[in-house]
Amino acid sequence: MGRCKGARFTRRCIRVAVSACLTAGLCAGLPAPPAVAADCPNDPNTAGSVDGSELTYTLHTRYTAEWARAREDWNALGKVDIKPHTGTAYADVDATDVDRADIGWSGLWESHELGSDDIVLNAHFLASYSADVKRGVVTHELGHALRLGHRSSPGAVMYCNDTRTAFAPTAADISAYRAVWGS
Amino acid sequence: MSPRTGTIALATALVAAGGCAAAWFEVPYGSTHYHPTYAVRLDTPGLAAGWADDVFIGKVTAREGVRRTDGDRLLWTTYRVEVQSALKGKVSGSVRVAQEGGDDPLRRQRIVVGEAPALLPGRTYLLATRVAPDGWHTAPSNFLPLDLAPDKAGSDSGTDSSAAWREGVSHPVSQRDAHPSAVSRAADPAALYARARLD
Repeated sequence: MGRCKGARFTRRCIRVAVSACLTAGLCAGLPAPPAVAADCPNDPNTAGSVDGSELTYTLHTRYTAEWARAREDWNALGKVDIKPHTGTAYADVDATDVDRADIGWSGLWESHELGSDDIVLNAHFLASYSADVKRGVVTHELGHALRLGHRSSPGAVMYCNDTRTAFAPTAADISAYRAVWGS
Repeated sequence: MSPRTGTIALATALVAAGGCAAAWFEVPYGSTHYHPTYAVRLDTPGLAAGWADDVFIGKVTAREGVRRTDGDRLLWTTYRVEVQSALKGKVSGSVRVAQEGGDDPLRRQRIVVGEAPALLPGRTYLLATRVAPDGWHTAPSNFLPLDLAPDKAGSDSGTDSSAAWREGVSHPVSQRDAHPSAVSRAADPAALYARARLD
C-alpha cells in the first residue's frame, strides 16, 4: 500500500482495493482446471470423401510434395484410388491453405454434403515444420478423407496431435484401413 | 411466344425458384464434425496461458451470428462478451469472441470442430483467447471454456483452482510449436484490440 500516498490517496486505494476484491472474488469461484484429458481417444471412423473406390482431388496448396508422398503411401494399401480430379463435376476433396495464428490446429478435414469436401492446411504451423512432420499432417488429413478416425497411439499417423511419431501409415493405421476397406 | 405469355412464364419460374429457396431454408440442420490435427495443447492452465494473448473472465451477453473467413472455408460463431476480469493480457470492456464452427444456414449443417462446447448467452466463462485480425478474440476448438456457473464451480476436486490459474498465468508453459500471435507480431497491438471491441 506504499503507493497510496499523497493527494490521490483515496481514489488510488479504492481502485486497488476494488481490483483486489474483484480478482479475489472471481478467482475464489473458479472451478478446478481441466484435467489433462486423454490426449487423443480412439474416434469413430468418418464418413470420408471417397466416391465408390475413387478419391479425386484438386490442389490449391503449397504442400504438393507432401501430398504426393501421402497419396503414394495410402494408394500402396490398395482398394481406393487417390487421383487428381479431371472432368467437369467437382472433386471429392479440395486441399487448400490458410495462415492463422489464432487457432490450434495445423490441418483440418471438412465434410460437406454439397460440393467438395475440404482439407485445410495451416501454414502458420506447417511453415516451420520439418518435411516429415508436414508429411504426417497431410497423411493424417488424407486418412480422414479415407474414412479413418483418430487413433490413441502416438505411433499412429492418425494420432490427433502433431507430436505423433509416425509420418506414414503404421500397423494401427493399416489395421483401421483394412477394417474399412478390406484386405 | 407472346410478350404476355413470356412474362407469365418468367414470373412462374421466379416464383418456383423462390419457393425452392424458401423451402431450402426450412430443411432441418444436419450435423457434421470437422476433424483437426492439433499443433498445440491447451488443456492445462499453464499451456493455455502460454499460448493465449488473453486469459479472462467474461459474461456472454449475446450470440451475434455466424461469419466466414479464408475463402468461405472456415465458419465461426461470434458472441458479445463483457469482460469482468483479465488474468492475462489487455482485453477489457465489451468484446467480440469467436468460436470455430456453428450453424451454417446455407449448407443446413451444424458444424462441430473439436471438443469445445458452444458458449451460452447468460453464462460466465474463463476463456483463453488470441486476438484475430478479423476483429475478434478467438476461443480455439481445443480449449474448453470454463463455465463458472455456481453448480459447476469446484465440482470435480479439492484442488486450489484459483492458485492453479494464477500459477498458470504467472508461469506459462511454452510449447515448441506455439508460434507468436498476431498481437505479439503487430506494430500496433492496440489497433487489433480496438477492432475486437464493441463499446
